[in-house]
Amino acid sequence: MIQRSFAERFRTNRGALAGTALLLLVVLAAAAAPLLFPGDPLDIVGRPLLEPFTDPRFPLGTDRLGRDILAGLAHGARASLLVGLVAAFGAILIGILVGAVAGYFGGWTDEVLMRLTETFQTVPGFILALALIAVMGPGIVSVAIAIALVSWTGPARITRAEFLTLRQREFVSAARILGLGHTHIIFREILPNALAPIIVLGSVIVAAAILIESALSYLGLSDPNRITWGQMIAGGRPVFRTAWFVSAIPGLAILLTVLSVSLVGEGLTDAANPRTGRK
Amino acid sequence: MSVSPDRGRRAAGAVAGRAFVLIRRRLAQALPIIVLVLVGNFVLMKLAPGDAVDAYFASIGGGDAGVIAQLRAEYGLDQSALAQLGLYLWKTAQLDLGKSLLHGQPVLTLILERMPNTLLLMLSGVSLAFGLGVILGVAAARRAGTPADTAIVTLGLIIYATPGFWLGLMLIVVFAVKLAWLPVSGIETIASQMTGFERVLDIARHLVLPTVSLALVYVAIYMRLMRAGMLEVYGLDFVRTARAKGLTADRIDFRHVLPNALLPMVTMLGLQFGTLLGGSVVIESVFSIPGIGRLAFESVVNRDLNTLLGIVFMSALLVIAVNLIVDLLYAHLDPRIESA
Amino acid sequence: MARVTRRTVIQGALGAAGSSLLPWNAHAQGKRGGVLMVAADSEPAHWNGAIVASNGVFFVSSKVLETLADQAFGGTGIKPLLATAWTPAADGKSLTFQLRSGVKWHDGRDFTSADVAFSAMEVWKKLQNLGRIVFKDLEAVETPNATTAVFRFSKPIPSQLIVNALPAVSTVIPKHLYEGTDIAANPANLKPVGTGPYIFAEQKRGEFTRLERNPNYWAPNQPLVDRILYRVMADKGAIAAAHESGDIHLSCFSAVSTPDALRLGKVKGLQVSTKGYEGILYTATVEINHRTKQLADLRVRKAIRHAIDARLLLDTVFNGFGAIATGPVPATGAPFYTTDVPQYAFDPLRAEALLDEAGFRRGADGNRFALRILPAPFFEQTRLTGDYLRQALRRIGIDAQIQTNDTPGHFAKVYKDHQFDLAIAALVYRNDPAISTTVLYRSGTPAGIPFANQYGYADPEMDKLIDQAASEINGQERIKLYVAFQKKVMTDLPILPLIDFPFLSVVSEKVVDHHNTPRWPVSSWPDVGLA
Repeated sequence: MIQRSFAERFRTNRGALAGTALLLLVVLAAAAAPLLFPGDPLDIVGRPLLEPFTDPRFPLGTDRLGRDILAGLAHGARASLLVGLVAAFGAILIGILVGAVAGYFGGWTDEVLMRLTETFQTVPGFILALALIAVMGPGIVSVAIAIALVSWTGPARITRAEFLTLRQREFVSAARILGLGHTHIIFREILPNALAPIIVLGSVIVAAAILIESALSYLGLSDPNRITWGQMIAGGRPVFRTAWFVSAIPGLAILLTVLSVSLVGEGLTDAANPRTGRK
Repeated sequence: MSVSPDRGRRAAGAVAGRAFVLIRRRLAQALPIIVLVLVGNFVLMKLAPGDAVDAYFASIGGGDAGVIAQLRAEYGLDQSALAQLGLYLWKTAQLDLGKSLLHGQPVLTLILERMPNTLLLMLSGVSLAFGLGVILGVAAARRAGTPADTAIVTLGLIIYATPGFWLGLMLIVVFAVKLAWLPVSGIETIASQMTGFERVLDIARHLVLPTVSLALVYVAIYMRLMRAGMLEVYGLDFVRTARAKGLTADRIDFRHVLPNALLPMVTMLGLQFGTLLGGSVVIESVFSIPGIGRLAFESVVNRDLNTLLGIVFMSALLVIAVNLIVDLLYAHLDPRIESA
Repeated sequence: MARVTRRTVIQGALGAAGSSLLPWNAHAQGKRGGVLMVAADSEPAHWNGAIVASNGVFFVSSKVLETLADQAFGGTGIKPLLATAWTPAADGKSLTFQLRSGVKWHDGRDFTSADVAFSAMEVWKKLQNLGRIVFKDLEAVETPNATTAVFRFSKPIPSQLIVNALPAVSTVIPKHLYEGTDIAANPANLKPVGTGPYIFAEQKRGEFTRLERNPNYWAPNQPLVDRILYRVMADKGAIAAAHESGDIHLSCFSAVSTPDALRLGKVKGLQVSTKGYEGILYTATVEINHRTKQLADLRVRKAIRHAIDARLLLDTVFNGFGAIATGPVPATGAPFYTTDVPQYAFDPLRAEALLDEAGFRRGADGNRFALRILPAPFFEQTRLTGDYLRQALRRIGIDAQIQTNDTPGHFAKVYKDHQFDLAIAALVYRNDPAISTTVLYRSGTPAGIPFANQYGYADPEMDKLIDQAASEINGQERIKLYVAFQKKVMTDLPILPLIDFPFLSVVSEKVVDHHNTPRWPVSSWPDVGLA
């Protein structure tokens, strides 16, 4: 069997391609938001609760206060992507640190760090995130920190498992004999070999982070000066009997964004492991 | 995979012994976790601006300095943080979770009062997620590579990407308001004085929409796991042997592959339980279900320290208990597994 | 600027929504029996309205525990309840109440003047949020017989103030259950025993509160309904849907959002109105921290008021339900209300000129300075007003940022630690400026007391005016002093009253005899019925 290249495998995966296109669109909307919709998306610009496709100035209608929903969507994409990426990055970073130290040193260090990991896994993550935000005060930064702090256990466990196997390998013993420091062995020798499964997990964490962010801002815990999709859904909730579109449209945006991230992640996984993918 | 009666009896004795060891071991592991949970959350709530007394006076529109100080003293809020923590740990050990300032009731009473609703929602959610996940996963695996498989897998991805709270809202619009088939919110018809089967049916009707909203994400997860598990078992030797023996596809799938693929799913149930409990915070809010999820959110909003700490404690206990049950179940289903 | 009265605005808004909205249909006759289903959007910690005089508590407790008097449409505006008459002494130092005879507590004991004396001295004066101010000079309550209670004050007190305050501050609780106990922790606070038309039956937190008809109520043939069920529903959208499906008969205090209410008003079988809230009108107000250096400058405060398009605010956030506030007393606040006060039109250019004049010019980034806005988190109206204010201030070069807090956080930051620049509050006007209005302007309030002057505003002239009015026993003189007070407020602009707004009720047409008093949602509902 001829092994096709990684890129080739990704390119022939229709789902991955669709996901990439969708994700590009979201990224583009986020990037171009200030150009396409200059001004503050939180400003009152028209009559409240205009239905979609009725006024060419506001193609997707207006909300409870008369804000442009389309402008909100574009600007909201920035918050969703930013929080998703930053939180996932933070979670992976914490996870790698904890997992690497635990797996590499083993013994008591491992015991203590794993208890800590288990503790974080035992407390329902969303309830912990609520408490963290209540302490830090609502805002985009605290939401990102809270999500990172409740999402790092997965990467930590995977990293630890990889380190437990890899530390037995010859190249690690060799590095030890050469007298290289622990930091060097952990980050230069073992980590690069352990990274692939962690990165694949990354897309799952980004998708989950976007969903958690939307739920938190739906509950009113994000930055009120910055529009987010969850907030837009919450804003539509009191009027959802009269104007269901105010809540429905940003919800669809979340769905499509998370779907695109998942599809891309799926494509990456399949392309990285051609044999464990679809048969 | 039949087991002779004799072997079964011996295995049963061994399982009981192992179960005891397992329980003892798990409880020993759980203790430091519980202490860590309490310490961590206590520290968090201490760092937050405004305490429960502020919240109380906010709710009644003010009070004078003397009364405020008196109440602080009554709740031990004037002592050092360390003393308060010590007090809390000691009281928790005696299952005294203190009194909720917001509700004026003992926290334990509040939680126990609302726990059945949450457990009911969890149970129906897990059943739906597990059942539907297994069915879809098996269906997809048996047709692996066909358009039907692709359709199920894609559906799974879409379901996974749907925010549960938003789905809940949309379901309310369609099924409760436009079609008026199901109730809008709540757990049962208030003070209806229904009894027996009528009441069960009433609660079931109330549970349909929240259950679907809560469970759908997990349907996607279990479906994927089930599908992957089936495909993995298909590749094992004994399945090939069975095929070579000329057993029918149905017999192979349901008697040999399915039981083996189900095992990892059981572990997943335990692992996902905490996440499910977290998810119920938003779902209970959307559907006005008086469970501990909504209680948790109300407590954070009103900074009801005692109640929130109590919920964290009780939900950690619940997660530990559920995982213990899952472990026991697992050990029972697969006697080969060591209680590691 | 042309002034629009509240009535025309409300009628205009409702007229636009459908002619069936006003007045309430009153053709049907209530009959005995039935269960009244009511939506409750929050649950207070307890139901002792004698300790906590707040509308959230009264919404349920006022059906069980009665006050000495309540508000009424017409007449003096006050109608007897547990007290049948009251007479002030000529020296202003005592007030004699004649009490209703033959009234029984729900546990069968007789209601007497001893209960009133105990409630006044031990609860209203000592523990109650409003009573601590109103009854601060109350020295003793004498009970010459079972149906007479004489309130003695240490100095002359305007009886007008006491009587106006009665509906909110005079909830009577049974002495035989509270005497010698820790009143704040008494179990009866959770299961009140009163004299009212309904008996408190049970409460399931997070689900419902059930009241049952009192068969021995003192008014003949009342109450009509067998049971009132308050169903706890935290979600405005769900409450609106429950109205449409017929699951509930009644929701009050804008438990549904205003756009939904307007739509529900057109649904057959449902009615929507603001009637019945005349005595508990709220004012959306910008609270100002005078410790912030820019805000200590009157020109900046004036500029902020000029930057606000109150008309737009009224039309969007309040959907026309309400009126532009002209001052600290709403237009329904007769006889105290005056229009003879300075007004500030929407004029962004003037606002910018004032800011330039004050020395705060636009910087390179277009901003003059930054301010934090803290909207009160418990009302939709205050949150949305905050959103609008942010936009209005950014237009004139003030970099305004919203800071949201949970309820305790908001109270700590605004009323205790003063860590705010601007805050948005909904302040209630309770029938007399001395009950809950002047406290917003009088200096010397200790930090931590909410809905009081925590603004760092201290003006000796203002303080003198308020103190004089509080001890003026001549009614006409009091009114004159409060007119001067309103002028002073609108000249100094210590805080900015923006919109006087009533809450909305949605009611099924099956319900009869409702919203027939000026504070109906928090009254005792003895006559409400189901057709």
